[in-house]
Amino acid sequence: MAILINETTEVMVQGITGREAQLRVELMRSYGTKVVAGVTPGKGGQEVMGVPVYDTVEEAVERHPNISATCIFVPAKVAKHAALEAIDAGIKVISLHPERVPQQDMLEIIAYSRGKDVTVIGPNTIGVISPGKALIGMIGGNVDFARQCFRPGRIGVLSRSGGNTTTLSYYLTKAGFGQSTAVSVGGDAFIGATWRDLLALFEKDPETDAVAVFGEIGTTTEEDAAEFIKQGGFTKPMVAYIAGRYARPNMRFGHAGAIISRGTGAAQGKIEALKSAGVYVVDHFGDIGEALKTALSRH
Amino acid sequence: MKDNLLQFEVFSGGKVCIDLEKCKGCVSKVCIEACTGTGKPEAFELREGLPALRVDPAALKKGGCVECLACELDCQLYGNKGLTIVLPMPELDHYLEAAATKPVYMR
Amino acid sequence: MSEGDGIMPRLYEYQGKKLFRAGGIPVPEGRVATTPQEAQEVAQSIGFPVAIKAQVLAGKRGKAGAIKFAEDADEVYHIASNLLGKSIRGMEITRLLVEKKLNIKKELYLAITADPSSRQPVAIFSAVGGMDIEEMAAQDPGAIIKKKIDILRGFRDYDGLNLVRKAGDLSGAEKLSLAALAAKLYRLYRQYDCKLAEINPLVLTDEGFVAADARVDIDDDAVSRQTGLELEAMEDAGERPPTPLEIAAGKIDAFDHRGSAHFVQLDPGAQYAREMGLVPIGFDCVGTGASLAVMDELVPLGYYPINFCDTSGNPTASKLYRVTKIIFSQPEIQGYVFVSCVSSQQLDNTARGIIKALKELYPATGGKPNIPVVLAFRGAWDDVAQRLFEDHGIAQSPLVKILGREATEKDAAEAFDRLYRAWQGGDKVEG
Repeated sequence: MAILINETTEVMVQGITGREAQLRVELMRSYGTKVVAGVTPGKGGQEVMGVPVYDTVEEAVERHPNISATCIFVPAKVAKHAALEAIDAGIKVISLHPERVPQQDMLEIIAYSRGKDVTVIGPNTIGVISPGKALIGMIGGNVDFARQCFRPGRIGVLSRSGGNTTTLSYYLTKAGFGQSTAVSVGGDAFIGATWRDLLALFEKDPETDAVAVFGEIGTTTEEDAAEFIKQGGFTKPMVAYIAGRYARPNMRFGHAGAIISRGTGAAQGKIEALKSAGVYVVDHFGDIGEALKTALSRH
Repeated sequence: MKDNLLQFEVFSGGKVCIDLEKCKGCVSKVCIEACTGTGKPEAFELREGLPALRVDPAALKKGGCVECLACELDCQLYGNKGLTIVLPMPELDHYLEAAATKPVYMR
Repeated sequence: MSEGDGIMPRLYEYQGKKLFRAGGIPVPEGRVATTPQEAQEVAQSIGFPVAIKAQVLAGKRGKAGAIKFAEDADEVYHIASNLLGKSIRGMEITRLLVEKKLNIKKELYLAITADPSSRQPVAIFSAVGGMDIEEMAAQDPGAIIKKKIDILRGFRDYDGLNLVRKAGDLSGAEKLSLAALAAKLYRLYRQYDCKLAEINPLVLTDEGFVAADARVDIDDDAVSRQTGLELEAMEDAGERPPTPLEIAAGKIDAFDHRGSAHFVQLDPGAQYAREMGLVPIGFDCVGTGASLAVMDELVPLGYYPINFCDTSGNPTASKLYRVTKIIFSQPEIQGYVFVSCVSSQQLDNTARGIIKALKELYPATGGKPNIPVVLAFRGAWDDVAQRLFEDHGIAQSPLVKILGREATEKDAAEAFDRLYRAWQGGDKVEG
């Protein structure tokens, strides 16, 4: 089962004629993802590595009615239009890869997707992988490396850091745990699917036994997830590492989201919130695999 | 400028310079294969026993040289130290000239 | 420093007020002056008393002595001469805003920003404004009224009224006037891609409400489409001006899109590290998340990375070379740590860049550094990266430890701790 994507998911690539998208198409196909269509306005009728290109998402969906996921590789300034087009065409999973999507564009995408049966991952995500089944985006980088770091299994993974999506999965793999699905939720302050949204999906997924997360300073992602767990929305074991305990307030990093603002978003508050919700929070990232063993045995 | 100098510019601003006089005394000619390491597009070939460009320098400057630095490092280890890459940083040089405290590597 | 490094373009007060005026939000009469003479001229043309406000991007200017009042031209000259050329939190005062002093009956607060939890724009209002709004918000959250706005629907008049209606001692006309101001501020927030549009204080005068201050933060990711704004001033808008090393590092990515080498000095001069009794070190990680996680291990052991550096997105070796030279040029560092997240980028390139830098920085030893250095290569081509350090003889230095994929963030920090202690214990290279 996994969440969001699996071996039967038919995937579309928006912006497929761009250089970066083509690299990702190669990665996805060699991993086994069914990339069935691409969209670039004005380039309909072309092919990219054997994948037919259409002018609009609507047209792609007409020809390939089973498309349920899209990865968007368009410039940040047109990312909003690409996402809204995908939502209007009824796509269920949208992986929004551009970095530096304007904040208010993201607020519009979030508002537009609200109440609809769609999950928007990102922006600034490296993608989603259901190991052994499919991946969307650029997660894993190359197919051999993706196979080394991500193994099929029963642990859900969520990470606010793109790079540490892989590190976390690798730590789990090393400790003997494969992953059902690993999601890079995106490093920005305003993202589509939050941990809360994705925990709800993992809760319902019979192939996910527990969830491991990498969090960091800034935003209220961790606090909101803790609240959701306390409300009973997520009942499976969860282990977490929260980075940035020694970041000084107002210390700014590359992630727009990693900004401590007005007293919220500090690591300690997040750690306490998660612990009070029953989450196992480790002090050292590398211990997360061992902590998961404990969490599973005690749950 | 020496006649026997093979040079081309790189995208980030800088130059790859090969002193062909030194290459005459080089047994390994390691730069030729170094460029096939992880970089493309294999910029060099041997012509009359010396390194020569098999790619248009303009293309190398546009990003054809991926600046992996393997040719230089391998030349220093296994070649005759004829290949150097100069990657200027004028702003850093200015900083260092003006800096009151010298960095640790100068001490 | 405008290359997507999280520094928010923030407008100066006078720039924000220009936008306010254009958007129909009343602001005090006034103009910018750059010399004491000019300040006098502005003051005389608008009439006394005047407020003289240093145009710097630091908060709490009132407390920092950057806002003064003058009753006559002599006083204006005196104050302006005193302020111009001085610095507030490292930012030099080059411009003064001279405006008519307001007759304040009441100070309020009004802002539009994005709410992190609901992920919607939110209007924030308080009938009590002024310098200590943040402290007050912490002490009396009930005094701050928030109204979420549906971004697709937009701001309606009744949203404004619903926002201000709970404020006790306002007349009906004042409430209508505030609601209209809120609508205008929301339009401005949307029009200019603001992260924050804030009026603090919003002052009630005999002539009605006037924005006594303006804070407008523009979304740096939207700057490219905000061509009407005064971009030049926004470039230097940060918490502090960029340091010479940051300016040098900024050039690395400026013309080369192949991966990033993003360098920021967290603690220029290592003052914080010294105050905390921590050893200042140079630092580079692949990925922001890795930086935070490694820092979490280093600080408890007594080491403080005085810079942040993210070399991700598969950068070229030449980028690593350049940024490594910059990291090592921070005079205070007593060590260097590099850790990659488990990454698919070509770590052999990373290794070559660092090796070339070390060989040039330490020509006498063939690249063997005179401070402890730990490098943890985890990811694609990590074995090649490790081997390169051995081939070049750098790994053999007693001050160097090269780690591979099996290493955790903690392992890297502990390895550095061991090297540093051994170095301090007697192997220290004389300086």
